[in-house]
Amino acid sequence: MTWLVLTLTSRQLLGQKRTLFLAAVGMLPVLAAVIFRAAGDGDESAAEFAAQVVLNALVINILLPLTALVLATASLGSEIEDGTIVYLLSKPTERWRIVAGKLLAAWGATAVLVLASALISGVVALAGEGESRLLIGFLVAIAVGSLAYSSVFVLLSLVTSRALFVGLAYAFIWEAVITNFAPGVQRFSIREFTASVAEAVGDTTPWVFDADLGTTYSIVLLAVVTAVGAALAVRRLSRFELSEAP
Amino acid sequence: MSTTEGTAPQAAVEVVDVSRWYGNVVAVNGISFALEPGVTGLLGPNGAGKTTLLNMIAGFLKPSVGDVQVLGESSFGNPDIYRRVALVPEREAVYDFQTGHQFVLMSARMHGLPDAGDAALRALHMVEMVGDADRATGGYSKGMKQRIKIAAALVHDPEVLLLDEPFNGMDPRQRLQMMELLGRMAEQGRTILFSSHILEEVERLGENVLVVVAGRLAASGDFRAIRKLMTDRPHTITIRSSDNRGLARTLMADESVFGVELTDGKIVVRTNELGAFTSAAPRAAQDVGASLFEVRPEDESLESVFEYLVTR
Repeated sequence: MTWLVLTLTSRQLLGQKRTLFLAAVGMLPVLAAVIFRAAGDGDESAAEFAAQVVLNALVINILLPLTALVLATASLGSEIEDGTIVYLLSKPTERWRIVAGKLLAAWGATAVLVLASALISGVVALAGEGESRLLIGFLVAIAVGSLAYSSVFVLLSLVTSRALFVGLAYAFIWEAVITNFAPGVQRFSIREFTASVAEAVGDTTPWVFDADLGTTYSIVLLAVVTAVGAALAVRRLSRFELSEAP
Repeated sequence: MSTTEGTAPQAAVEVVDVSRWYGNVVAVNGISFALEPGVTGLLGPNGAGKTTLLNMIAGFLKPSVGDVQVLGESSFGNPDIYRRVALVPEREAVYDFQTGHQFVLMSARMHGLPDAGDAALRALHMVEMVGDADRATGGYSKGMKQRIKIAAALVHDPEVLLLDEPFNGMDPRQRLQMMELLGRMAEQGRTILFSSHILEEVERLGENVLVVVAGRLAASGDFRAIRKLMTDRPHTITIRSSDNRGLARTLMADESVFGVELTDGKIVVRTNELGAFTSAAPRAAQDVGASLFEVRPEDESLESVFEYLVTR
């Protein structure tokens, strides 16, 4: 069942305009990297620019949550909206298998899009600098962070029909703005967890890239967020009620 | 799993004092019935609560109060019942990018059937969609979507089949074929419940009928008895003629008429026997020498028929 849901959902996501839109947004970090290289020597080193601006500010802070949110809500929320969810639910199978298929599809699609953007923009920004360790750190962090985001957003699309709106508020008000004013709040921010993994795996020097949270704490929290999100989604789907056609 | 041991054989579907509300809105209000194998029509105007009722039986809605048992088990939050139960939803959407065959085959695989390919083909044959099975469902007509949805629901040979407005969008020929198919499946001992807001559909297919109006069970039982209730109710008819007063006098004398009202430019007649009245009216006009300009029944909409059944 999981495999069937996964392949079905992948086809759903592939055929959608929003996936094309996300691929286009994914070109922005690449564009930034190209402009940086073309402008020649600035005050910043290539490693600083790649880590702080391209991979952290553009990819992890914007592209990653946006892509995860759009694809997670498209993978489950749109089936609820269309009423096609009934074709999955009317099968004699454990609900976790359906959630697993949906989550894996959303995660896979998010990871592919965001990793491609990070890889291309990273290579462009860092070409000839010998900083491949830094780039690998970010790629690993994105792979892990996109799973946590997908898990939360798949749950969100089961809880509310306005998942896109709530998700945007979480990613771009809570994580992007409020964490700046109230530093304690950073401890509950998937993007900070992700940045911390990038720093640890990339083994970056503090002036190149310095995350705010401890590595162990971040890894534990990423695992907890992913697991709790998925578990709540299974629970929610087990008690799912079909809303009537308007 | 069976709870029937030692007791009388259980009804395939048993609905006991079920209500369901959304906030302040009561969609289904204290309904009870039991279904045996055979075809049963669930008749009612739009918004009467038919879909809510079907969704509760199918385990996609939890009753606010009351109990729904399908084949002896609670259906809500119990995916195992889908081995023996199927629902064809009213909503049209399927996965547009899949072909009809892919859609039905996916359903068979999700059921974990050992011979999914054969099962899918058999279901496609049953709804006569083999010829169009390799086209994308996105290009299907409403009737074809309806049939492919039914094929996907039939793929595991369910004992209980629930269909929400299955004849929507079908042309008369497809409708007839579908009625035959449902009839055949009922003969094989299946329990089939389908909803409709069209009297004639239910009349042709369902010997047993449940009439739901405004969330309540207004009538249930043999269709002929219910049909009689519907035709024997009082009818109101408006007549315009060249001599309203003369015609009114003659109509008042007719036995089929129990009320005549003369208002500006028209006669309003009330009758209990529509058949007798329809032959009496032209005769009366002839006797008086009046020409009839208009004879119009006032309340022939299905809604008014349903309303009558409720207030009866």
